[in-house]
Amino acid sequence: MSLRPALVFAALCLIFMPNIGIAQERKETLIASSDDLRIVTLLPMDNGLSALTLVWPIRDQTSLSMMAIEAGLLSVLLGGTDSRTPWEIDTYLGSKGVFQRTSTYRDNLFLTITAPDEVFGEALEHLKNVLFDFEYSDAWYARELHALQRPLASKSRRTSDVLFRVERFLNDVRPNKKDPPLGTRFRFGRPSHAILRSDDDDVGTRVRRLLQKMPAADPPSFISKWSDWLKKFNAEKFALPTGVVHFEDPSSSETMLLLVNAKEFENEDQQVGANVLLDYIGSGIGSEMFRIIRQELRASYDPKSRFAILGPRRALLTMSATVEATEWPKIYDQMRGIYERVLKGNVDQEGLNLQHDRLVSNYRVKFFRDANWTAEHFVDAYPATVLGEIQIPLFNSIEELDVEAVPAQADVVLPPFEEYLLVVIGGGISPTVVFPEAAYCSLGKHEAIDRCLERLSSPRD
Amino acid sequence: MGILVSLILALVTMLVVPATTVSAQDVIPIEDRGGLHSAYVVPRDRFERVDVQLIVLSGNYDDPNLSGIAHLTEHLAAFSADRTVLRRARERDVNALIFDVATVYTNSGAPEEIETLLQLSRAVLDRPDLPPGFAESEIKILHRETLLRERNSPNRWLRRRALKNLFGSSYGRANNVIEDLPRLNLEDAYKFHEIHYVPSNVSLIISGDIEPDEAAKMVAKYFGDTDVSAVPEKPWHDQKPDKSLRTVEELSSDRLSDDTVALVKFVDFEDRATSIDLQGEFFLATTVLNNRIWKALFFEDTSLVDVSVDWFFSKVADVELSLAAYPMPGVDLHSALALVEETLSGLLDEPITREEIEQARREENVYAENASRRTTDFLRYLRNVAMDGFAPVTPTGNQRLIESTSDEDVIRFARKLVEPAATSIVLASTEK
Repeated sequence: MSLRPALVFAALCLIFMPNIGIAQERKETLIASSDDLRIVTLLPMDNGLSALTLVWPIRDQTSLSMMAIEAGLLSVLLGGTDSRTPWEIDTYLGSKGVFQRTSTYRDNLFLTITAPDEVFGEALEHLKNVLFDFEYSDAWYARELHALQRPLASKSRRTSDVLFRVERFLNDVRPNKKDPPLGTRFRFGRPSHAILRSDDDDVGTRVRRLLQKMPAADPPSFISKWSDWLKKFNAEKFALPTGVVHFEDPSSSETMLLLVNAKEFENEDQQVGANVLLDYIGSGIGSEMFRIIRQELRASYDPKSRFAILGPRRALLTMSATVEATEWPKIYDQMRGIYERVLKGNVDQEGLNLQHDRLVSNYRVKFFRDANWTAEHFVDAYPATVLGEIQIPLFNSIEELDVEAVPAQADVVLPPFEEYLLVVIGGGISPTVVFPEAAYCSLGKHEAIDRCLERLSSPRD
Repeated sequence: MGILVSLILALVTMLVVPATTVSAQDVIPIEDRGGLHSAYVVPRDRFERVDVQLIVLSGNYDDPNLSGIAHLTEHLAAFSADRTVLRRARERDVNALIFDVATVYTNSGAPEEIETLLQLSRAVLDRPDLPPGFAESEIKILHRETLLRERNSPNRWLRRRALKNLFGSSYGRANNVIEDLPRLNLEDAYKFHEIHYVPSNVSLIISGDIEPDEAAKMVAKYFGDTDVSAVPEKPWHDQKPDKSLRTVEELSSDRLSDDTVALVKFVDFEDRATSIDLQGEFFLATTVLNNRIWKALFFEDTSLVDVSVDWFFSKVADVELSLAAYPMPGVDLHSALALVEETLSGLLDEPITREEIEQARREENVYAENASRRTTDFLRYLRNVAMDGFAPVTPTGNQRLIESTSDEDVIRFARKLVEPAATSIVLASTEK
């Protein structure tokens, strides 16, 4: 099955709702859009499930505010209504196979509700009830907020905990970000997008009824319109500092190495080329990092790369490995060697073709099984109004990539190795000895990476 | 304010794929299987692929007095099989997983690749054959993996502490995996392979897009020459703590992100030799009790951030309950423990109702339906009971099982689980 036709779907969006805003109402912060509402119907999923994703663009908030709003949404969804206790809600969801997922992506808050086709209409009624008749519990909110916090990587030694902070830093770096007094109680009104995965007419009718009842922002927001804001957002710098962030733990026999770069691409083809090359470097058992660092050098269990999309033509490129502390400079040199060979176009074409096949397969599966993931891609591709049949440029580029031509473009689509930020957490020799000339920031024991990212981003004294 | 919406649904008809339904999923035994403990085919054309799960009925609990040997053997056998059959490692991902009681090798591919998948599975039983130096250095990889997982998941070592205190031993149902790392060696791994990777200790499940006759033919071709062998001894079957045991250990560590109450309880069904006839009761009773635990600790109380509960039912009819509770900031560990223990001891203060059992049946059905939607979940479902050497249970098979389990049996089983029994607790606080 080809990916390309699978991504042909139709949408018509026409709703009049100006502005976006956060307004106080009954001591609760109303999270609602006053933009045009875009209702989009995508191809149904292939697993017997229907889904609805609601998207609220929470502009110019810091990630801490975003986390508070997400905790507020979770409290509304699970904290009980005037007719159902939290336990009764959980029991209902469990017995019907209804899943609710919240996430934040760039400055958007996503809620995806998924249920078997035959009970999806009922699940939408349930959603309507909790959104309108919730009973807010401050204790529940406090717990949700705490649960959304991530561990410090200095404790957990998980690369995902570093990347969580890095993504947050990239989102918060814009100068107009601020933390307004949001309070601790929220209610949720009209979203900016409603993305439906169902071809059932009755479901479509229910969705429209639900959206009609959801209040828009009032008074209108002080913030500019979404499309204007988006232009501004996309024009802002997307970059990480270079240098070294270090948490020294002399008691540890292991050291986590993480290289990360925030890369902006000229077009989707370049982005896909970089994605396939980075996968070739470190994704899976067929990758160069696995072959050399694990199987030849026997130096790490988990050498890997990750290509994380963070907006249209923007991605976070990472390579990581946890190694024996005494060996980290040697393995760092190996990672550099692998990367620079690829940068020069020195690539096994068969291996690259396999990575491309895996990428296409991964996108196909996610498109038909993961409603939240698809919604994120849709919002990236079509933030504004769109009519009729549409396609996502990134998906087309993945399908149509000329893999043979990719190696020759490696030094164009991938950043130079020196442009990666290096994070070293664990034991072994200090990076100040290995890289005496590099910008350096030392992390405290109970400190997140945030301060170092800010410090390395500032001009040197 | 009104909303005006028009929707155009332009579906490409060729892309409309049938929705998932939980159709009957038969488990067909394969008779001509050589000396294998068992072999089954579960035909299912939903996923357009074939999966072969080779299950060695030994895992971490079967380590000799040297933790990590079963794990090292898993690595060696997986890479050896891949190298022997494929010659080029990059063609596929090795998929081998070790559990407490079994080790599972999964080979997946298109239906036309079935012969290769069977060859790869068969090669797991051959003594590992790896390039000079590679096997020795795999020990180094195991060091990295063990230390990495230990650091990433504090619950691993908290539970290990609790199990050591419960069983009074560092081997069998507990382990000594960090302290034993320097002692790992190939000789013991090959010996483990020789004893445990034998036909009579191996079960095979072929599932997916394959005809039963074709599967039977393939099993006969690749396993028909294997002989019935001695079954390895399982000393952990006899590890039983004193029923009145209650231990509490307190510790503090800078590796923890959250304060944690880790609790393990051991319940022995002394009058039963096997768990095979109690599966329905186990699934339903633990679902009912889980619901009561969650209701009390999470939904009616907000002093815990999260609670995780896991029940392990061994093939020799004993149950290990593992519970981890994470108190909110400001809630001390002793208060959290008091809440947990009070909840566990009072779980049946109110009798279990018919409605609760019906709710458990509905939840089990939903779980089964969800498992039918994704290949990985379906495979997990199949191997769950099969790792004990029993016939695999499919999602639809489980639906039949729970429908045929009486309410009285569920209540009787739950009562046994709640009775006072050996318990080990670790109170772990973050180092400030």
